[in-house]
Amino acid sequence: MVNKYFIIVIEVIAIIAGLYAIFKLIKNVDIAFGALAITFGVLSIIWTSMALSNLAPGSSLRKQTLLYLLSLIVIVIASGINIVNILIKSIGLRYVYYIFISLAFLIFTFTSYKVLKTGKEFGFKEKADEIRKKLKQKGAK
Amino acid sequence: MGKEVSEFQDQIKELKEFVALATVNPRDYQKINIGIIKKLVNDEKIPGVYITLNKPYKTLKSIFEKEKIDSSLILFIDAVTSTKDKKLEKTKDCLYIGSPENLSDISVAMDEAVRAVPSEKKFVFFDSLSTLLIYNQPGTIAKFIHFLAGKMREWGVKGIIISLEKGANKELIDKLSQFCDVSFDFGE
Repeated sequence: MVNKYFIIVIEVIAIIAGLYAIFKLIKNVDIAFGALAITFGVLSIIWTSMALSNLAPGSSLRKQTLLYLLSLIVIVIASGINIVNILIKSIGLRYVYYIFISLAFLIFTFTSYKVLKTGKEFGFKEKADEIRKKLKQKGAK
Repeated sequence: MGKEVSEFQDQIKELKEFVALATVNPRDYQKINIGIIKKLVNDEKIPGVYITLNKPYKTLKSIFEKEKIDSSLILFIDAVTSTKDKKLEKTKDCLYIGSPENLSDISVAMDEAVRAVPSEKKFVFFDSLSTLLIYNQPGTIAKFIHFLAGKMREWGVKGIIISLEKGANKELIDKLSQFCDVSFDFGE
């Protein structure tokens, strides 16, 4: 248990140190926040990829995770483009950024639809209500 | 036949929540399954979740009707009936997983189904471990059963995992017994 708390403390210190380093090294606030967003984005991509490798092929959870991973990748790419755009200030690159961010939200929308479908598929509300009624009847007898 | 369902019931009747591994011989498999479910649903009036990897839901339903088991108290998860493109399909009483290899969806479906059952007392009947072995690697099964036993404790249910007699599965069953509160051999 102590070991677990020790690891958490180390992790928090590492995150604070990382944040400090980003803001210390990068003077431009826009770029600093962009770098921060990419750092978290890359971490999310790593964790999602690890989750993906553990899920059964063809499972609905895997399909959802794959779509989520795709959204994350596109968002990280968009953030990268945004940073480059801050540095070189290109109108063309700004439009590329808009395309990527729109694409990311499009994939998010599709992922949300899949989540809605999965919720319906895995939900047992109707049957649960029936069991509840049945149990009440049995209890009344 | 070896040991009877009543002996099994005697062993678990004091336990409010448990994870039991029941090994049965193929001859008595159906009789024992029906005996356990009948006791839980008809006698104790406990609702629950039946995960079938052995017989399709439709077959089970007709067997239960014939045996006068009140299946309205049971939520079924059918991983044996093949669905179009192995996709999930849903009816009011049953969720079809489409493939016994799809352990991720079986796990999610079980979690949702158990939490949906509106009763403090509930059971989870997993039929069967042996069928799972046909479609998955023993290492994967061991991990899955370890996960399942942990979940059963978290859900606070009467959990029963059925397996055909040891034979080729002996090593795995011995390994899995350590995750369970009760190991009961109906074949002895």
